[in-house]
Amino acid sequence: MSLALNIQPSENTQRMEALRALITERYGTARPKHFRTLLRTGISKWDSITGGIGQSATTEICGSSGNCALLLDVILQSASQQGILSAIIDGGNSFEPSDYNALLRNEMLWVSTLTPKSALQATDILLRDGNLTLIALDLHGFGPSDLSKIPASTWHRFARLLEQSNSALLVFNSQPLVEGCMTRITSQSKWSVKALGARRSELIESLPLQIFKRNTHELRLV
Amino acid sequence: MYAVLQLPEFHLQSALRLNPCISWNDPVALTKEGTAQGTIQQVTPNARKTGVYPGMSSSAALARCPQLQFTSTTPNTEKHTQSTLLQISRNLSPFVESTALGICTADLRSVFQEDLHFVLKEIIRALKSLNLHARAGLANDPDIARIAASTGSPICEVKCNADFLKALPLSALTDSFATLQVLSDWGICSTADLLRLPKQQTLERLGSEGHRLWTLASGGRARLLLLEKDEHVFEECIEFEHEIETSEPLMFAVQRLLESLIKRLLYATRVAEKIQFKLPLEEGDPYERIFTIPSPTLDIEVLQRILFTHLESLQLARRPTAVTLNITPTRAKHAQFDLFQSALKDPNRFAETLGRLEALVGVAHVGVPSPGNSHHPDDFTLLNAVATFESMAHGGLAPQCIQTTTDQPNFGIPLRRLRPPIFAEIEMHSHRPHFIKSQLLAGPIEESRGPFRVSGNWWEKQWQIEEWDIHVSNKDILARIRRDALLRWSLEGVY
Repeated sequence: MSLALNIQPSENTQRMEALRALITERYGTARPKHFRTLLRTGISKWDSITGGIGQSATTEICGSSGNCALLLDVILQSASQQGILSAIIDGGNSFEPSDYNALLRNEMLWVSTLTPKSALQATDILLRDGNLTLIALDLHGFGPSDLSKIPASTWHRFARLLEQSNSALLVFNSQPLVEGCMTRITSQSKWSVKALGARRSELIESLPLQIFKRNTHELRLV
Repeated sequence: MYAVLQLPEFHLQSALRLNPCISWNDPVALTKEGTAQGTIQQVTPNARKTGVYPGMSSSAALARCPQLQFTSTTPNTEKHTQSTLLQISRNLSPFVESTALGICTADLRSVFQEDLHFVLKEIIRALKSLNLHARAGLANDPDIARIAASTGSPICEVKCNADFLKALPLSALTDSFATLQVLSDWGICSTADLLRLPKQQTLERLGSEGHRLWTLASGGRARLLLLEKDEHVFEECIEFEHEIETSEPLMFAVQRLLESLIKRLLYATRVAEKIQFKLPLEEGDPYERIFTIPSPTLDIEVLQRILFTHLESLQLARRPTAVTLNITPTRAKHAQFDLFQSALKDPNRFAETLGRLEALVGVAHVGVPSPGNSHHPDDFTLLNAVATFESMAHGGLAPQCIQTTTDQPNFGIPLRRLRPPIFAEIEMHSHRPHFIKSQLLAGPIEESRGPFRVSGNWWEKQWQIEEWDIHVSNKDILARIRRDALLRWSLEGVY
């Protein structure tokens, strides 16, 4: 058995703190990166805390399928109003175009994929392309067992690609998955059948959002 | 004034033009089969220096020059070479005649005639960049200019026809061996000797060939040119000696063709708008594909990427025997500063990205969704993203999308549709769904909303499809179910 496996979590944390202290002593305090805002979402809480969707960064949106679909609609609508070209990589081929704002259909590329691997490959291709500014990766169509097989290095690779471009990556998922994302939004509210007849703007307003923002090393609830 | 451009050893030059392995400077001979069999038809200057001449047998030629290489040509290759020669010569004048294979005559009488030598040098240089070695002749008669071109190295200008012709041997005026033999037997060796003969008697004895020869020797006859229409055909073809099995040699051939076509487009001041890619196969119909270049360009890397991205994923049932590229040209677009700026930063790169996405997930899974003109559920078409985004940049919506802008779905939660729908069994209680059993979802239905009767076609008598929104209590999931005309239930999607 290797030594690393014998280390208790508390010991690990202490080592990490010591390492951080050493780095701070040698190279000074690490400063959080300042990302420019690409798009204001139109959701007041989100915009007031983070300024909107950050450019050259990943934003993860976790929640139930319906909540994520509502947020996706709002974001794509805002992008459409601001003339931003977007793409949705639809994991599981479940995107329903007629349920989204009609105008934005003109400005959105839809790529439907059937496996997590092809969804990630399509994301990689679009990030490298750089023509589309907003790229939404919807992983709701895949099961947890499929998603657990995605290596963490994938998200770091995407982060490196984003650093070189002006695009923003949105990842929609039921559970937190993306390591190193700049912002994570969670929303776990449940809906009744009555919500299906309610105005979408009212549903958005009543959506409880928890916003986590990266502060140098870790995501913190704001 | 007329200018004639001539490609000496035309058939051999056609064979060597797109061949990267053999050059014009090597000792090469043209035979019918392209092998060391049969009679030699044409040779390169370096082969001639070693004592190899047309008419020799291949074995005799090899004895004189062991390094001699053999090649052959095809009518297609010659047609494309002639087309290249005509296109390049249009830089001299719009009035161009395709006089013979490897020879074209340009009428310069109505064009600016300053620095003709410089222009001709540039044209010869352009042809050389296309692996064609040309000579040029300038004279005030098209036939004299042709004779001048055959003696030019590389440019020969005739100031005085009589002086020029006087010094020429008769063999420079005609290829007819029989006529030359008769004249030689009469002791006539030069044009000056020929002109001493009376015209009428020469005509009576030698026929029309004698008349042509006499007229030419006396200073030519201002004949009319048979002008060629400028058809802007940019096509190149490579026929493989053996059928190829992998994509690498095919890519190499495509690159070669593309380089040649781009140079031709450059000299014609055009850019590529469409590329037609054709692969004749050993059996059956040829494989064909047309690539539209979103932002017409001459950038070889862009065009190469578009073709190579396709070739990397291309699988054919039969082996290709040749490859043909045909480029549809257009004029380059020029916009003042940022006026008419494209919605996409780099449309060509985006088209290539779309190609890669299509190769990854399939053509039917990439595009800009546009609802169909009906109320059928899940009815939409996918539009080409490049064209849609570009049309948007030039003033609004794509035509297919205009009809949809008025009915914006501002109610409820967007559905996640199950494609294909999952078969479900529904228990009804008091005419409302009470219990669902399906592969994905099973449990009691706590709440339901419906029925919403829909039908794709308004002219049908009944609203035959029935949809319900349900809340399955044990899973806390909102879903949509549907009953079709045959009373079969299915789970359409979840919210």
